[in-house]
Amino acid sequence: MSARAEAAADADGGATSSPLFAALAAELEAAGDRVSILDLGAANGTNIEYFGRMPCALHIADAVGTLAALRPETDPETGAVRTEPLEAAVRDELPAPAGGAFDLVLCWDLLNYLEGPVFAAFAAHLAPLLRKGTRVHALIWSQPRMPLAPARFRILEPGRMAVEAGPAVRECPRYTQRDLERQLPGLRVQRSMLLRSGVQEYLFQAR
Amino acid sequence: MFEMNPMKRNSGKGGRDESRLDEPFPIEEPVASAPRGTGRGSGPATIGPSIHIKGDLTGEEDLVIQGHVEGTINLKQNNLTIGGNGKIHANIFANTITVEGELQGDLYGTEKVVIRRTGNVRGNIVAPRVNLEDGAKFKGSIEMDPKAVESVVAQTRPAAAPHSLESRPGGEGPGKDKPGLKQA
Repeated sequence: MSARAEAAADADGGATSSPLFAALAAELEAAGDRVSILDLGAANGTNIEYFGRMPCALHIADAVGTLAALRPETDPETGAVRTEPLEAAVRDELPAPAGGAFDLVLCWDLLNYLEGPVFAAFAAHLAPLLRKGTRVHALIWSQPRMPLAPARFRILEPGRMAVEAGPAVRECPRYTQRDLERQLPGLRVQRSMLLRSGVQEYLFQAR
Repeated sequence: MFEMNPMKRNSGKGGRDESRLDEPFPIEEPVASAPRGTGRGSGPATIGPSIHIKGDLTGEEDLVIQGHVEGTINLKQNNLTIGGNGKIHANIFANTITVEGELQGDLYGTEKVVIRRTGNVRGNIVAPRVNLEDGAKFKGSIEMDPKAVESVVAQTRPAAAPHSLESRPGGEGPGKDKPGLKQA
């Protein structure tokens, strides 16, 4: 573990294991090929330092906070959801599809904070960024309450991540595997694991 | 030498004696307190916070920018610092690039790119090493494949005019697609 990652671990009270991420990282490093990674979270030096160990292009979207805060607007007369502003907002946060597909997408705990039309818009705009076989890594809170806002995750070592979350909590949607596969039709669950921290770690693969 | 425009001679100090008009202009000695950018260990040149530049900026010495720059900045083997007051809308080519202010554009660092905690960068980074302090903001791509870094830096660095600098309007805008980079 680098000195920077150790300091992050000492400073943060929370941490979670991440065995599926560890296995995936080992697979990518062993292959040795250049990997294209989309990190939907905010940039942090610890993760950049970690990914610097492998030949990769790391695209940092810093989209989690904005996407998690999106709420659909409804037409006051008809009650119908206004999809255009939602689509535009999601599109602005994700990289343009013209830039090419990614090999790995890191959702962190974003999916917990998406619901209904927002989730649908996110899935629709994510799809062009995936190719067959793209992996999507996500952390799903499985307990009744979860942090009010998405947490920040720092990769301490491939099998362990520091979790920085505020003290306020809210009700957790507790998405099941079936819920997620329905919301993300282009993806299938490759592996999932319930962690001691109460987080369900998912590794999806694009069909 | 690092300059933006040809310097006016005798701009008020050590002016010519009107009675000796037939003699050549005396060569002005540099003012001791003025910043000198020789690029040879005498400290970086500085673009102050009130300066606004549009165009191509090239040079052969270290540079600190606290002002506004739009266009392209090419310092070849030298180091660039975008200070806390700096607001840059440009593609940058330098040895080490340190960002403490705001930047929109692509960064090509032959040695490394550092984004300090006050830095806010939107663009693509190509450098063998990238350091991001806690609190720094970044949105874009970071190319960390050593082979791709070498290739992109070699083929995309523009040719620089040696020894002098002119501010040329209509320089290459930032954010243009470069080989091997995803659009930010």
